[in-house]
Amino acid sequence: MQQRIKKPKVMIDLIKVSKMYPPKVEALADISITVNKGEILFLTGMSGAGKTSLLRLLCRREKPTKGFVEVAGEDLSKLSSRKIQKMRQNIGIAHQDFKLLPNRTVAQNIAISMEVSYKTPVHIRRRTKKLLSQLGLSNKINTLAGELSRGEQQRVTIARAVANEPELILADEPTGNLDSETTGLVMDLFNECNQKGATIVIATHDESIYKNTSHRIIELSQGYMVKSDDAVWPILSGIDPSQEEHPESIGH
Amino acid sequence: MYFLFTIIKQTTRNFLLTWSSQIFTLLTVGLSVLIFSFFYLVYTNVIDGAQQLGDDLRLTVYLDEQPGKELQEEYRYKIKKFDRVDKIVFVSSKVAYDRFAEQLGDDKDILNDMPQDFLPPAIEVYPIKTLDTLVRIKQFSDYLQTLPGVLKVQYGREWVERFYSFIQLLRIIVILSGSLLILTTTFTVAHTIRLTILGRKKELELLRLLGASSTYIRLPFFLEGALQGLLGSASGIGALYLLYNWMKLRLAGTTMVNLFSFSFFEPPIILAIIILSTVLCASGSFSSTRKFLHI
Ligand SMILES: Nc1ncnc2c1ncn2[C@@H]1O[C@H](COP(=O)(O)OP(=O)(O)OP(=O)(O)O)[C@@H](O)[C@H]1O
Ligand SMILES: [Mg+2]
Repeated sequence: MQQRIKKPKVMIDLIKVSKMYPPKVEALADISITVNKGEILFLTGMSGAGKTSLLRLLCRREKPTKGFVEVAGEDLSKLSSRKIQKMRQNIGIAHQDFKLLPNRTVAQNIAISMEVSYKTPVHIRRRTKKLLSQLGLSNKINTLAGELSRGEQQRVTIARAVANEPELILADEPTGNLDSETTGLVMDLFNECNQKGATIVIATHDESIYKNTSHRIIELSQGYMVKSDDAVWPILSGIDPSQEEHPESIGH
Repeated sequence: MYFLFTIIKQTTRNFLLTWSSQIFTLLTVGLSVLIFSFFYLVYTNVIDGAQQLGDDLRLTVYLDEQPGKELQEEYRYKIKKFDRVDKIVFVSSKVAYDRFAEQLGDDKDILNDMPQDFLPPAIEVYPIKTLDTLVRIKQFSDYLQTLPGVLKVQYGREWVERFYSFIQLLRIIVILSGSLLILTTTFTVAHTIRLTILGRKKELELLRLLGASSTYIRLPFFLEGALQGLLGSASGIGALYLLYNWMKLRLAGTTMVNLFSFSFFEPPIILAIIILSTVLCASGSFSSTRKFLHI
């Protein structure tokens, strides 16, 4: 714990960020958000509020029209493409449109995120099996992704996002097609990743997953931040409450 | 680091994804190599053959009278001044007569009435047996003509000239088929790689989002091109070898084989052809990734 505190604490720093899409769509306006390492943040808001746009800025799929985006202390606009690659290997993204390869099996789809950082086949297989059993998909391991139901595809996307044990997880509408029980499995997985140190940003309409949470919730509306529920999060203490509650789970 | 394993896996995937055009490419590369190496093989053998047939390469210089010892030395000196020669033989009228009689065999009676020196004395000049001499033989002959006391210079002029233009023709064919090889291999390989890239567009986009390095994305395509070159040229050479053996079997015992001792490429040349095709194909795929893979 001593070491954790010495490292830079901030994972995401958005400073007065705006995003305009041509010709004149203002997807994000004047957004400033700071997310600490080890935090879970819920990003809510109506459809079209700008949630996906914000996540896209965080992995440099898009550049902001104005303002600065910093991830892990690095200004994304200044990073070389090599560094962007390295950074992306450390960010797990569950895309809203899944981005699965339909004619590859579930296992292959999950493996991709680990292959790009040259993990061993043994490690990849073990990790894939574990994730699939956690998400209740063990029997689908060799099914083609294109043959899965929407809810199953969604879980595969989530498995791929967390497989490489990234420091930052961006989940865009991760429970949109899931029943409450399966939603529970997904949230358990996210919590486990969070306990191992991952910072997680979840964009969602699904009130059930943030209703009773102790984590911070930010609401967007037409590109503007309308509500930031900061009080719950003890920023200044520098201590991660989720780790405080389960100290035994570290190094798990 | 499981770098190599992952890259090879990715390359295999590419192969399987567009296997039909991969096979087409292999065939094209193989056939081009076959055509090129066929002509090249013929060319090298003809040149070797030229050296074996060099015995025919003899200039006979007829003199007006029998040269004495001193004059012989002077002739020798002047001939060697023009070009390096294998050997120089002086044939006196008497020797010429005896040879002629021998050639006539049973008919030599007809010579009985002839004086023994009715044939002029001659110098036989054997140039060293290289293609170069073949090319310059006419000049050589013209030079010998200018020496004092020379009546006439004879050599298998027609044969030499025809042979020379045949070699020129072969040379052009080898160059043409070599260019064909370069064009077809680079273009078809570039084309197949392009197909693979288009076929994997979705995946490549995803890989970029997952932070795949450009090595991870590019190297498999590069390897794919190199592999096509390697397999294609190896099978082309293999086919040529089979063809060569088949021809040899078919022609065994006939004069063709005895005339030319036809031989296959030496290992270094085989290696050079294979390496060259591999490099060509790899560069074809490289140019294709440069054009169609924007990372
Ligand atoms: N590539 C684009 N080009 C133009 N406009 C875009 C583009 N992407 C998003 N937009 C616009 O930006 C606004 C915000 O879109 P965004 O996808 O961020 O919303 P969202 O909050 O993720 O919505 P949802 O909950 O439906 O996923 C929308 O009005 C959308 O039309
Ligand atoms: Mg969205």
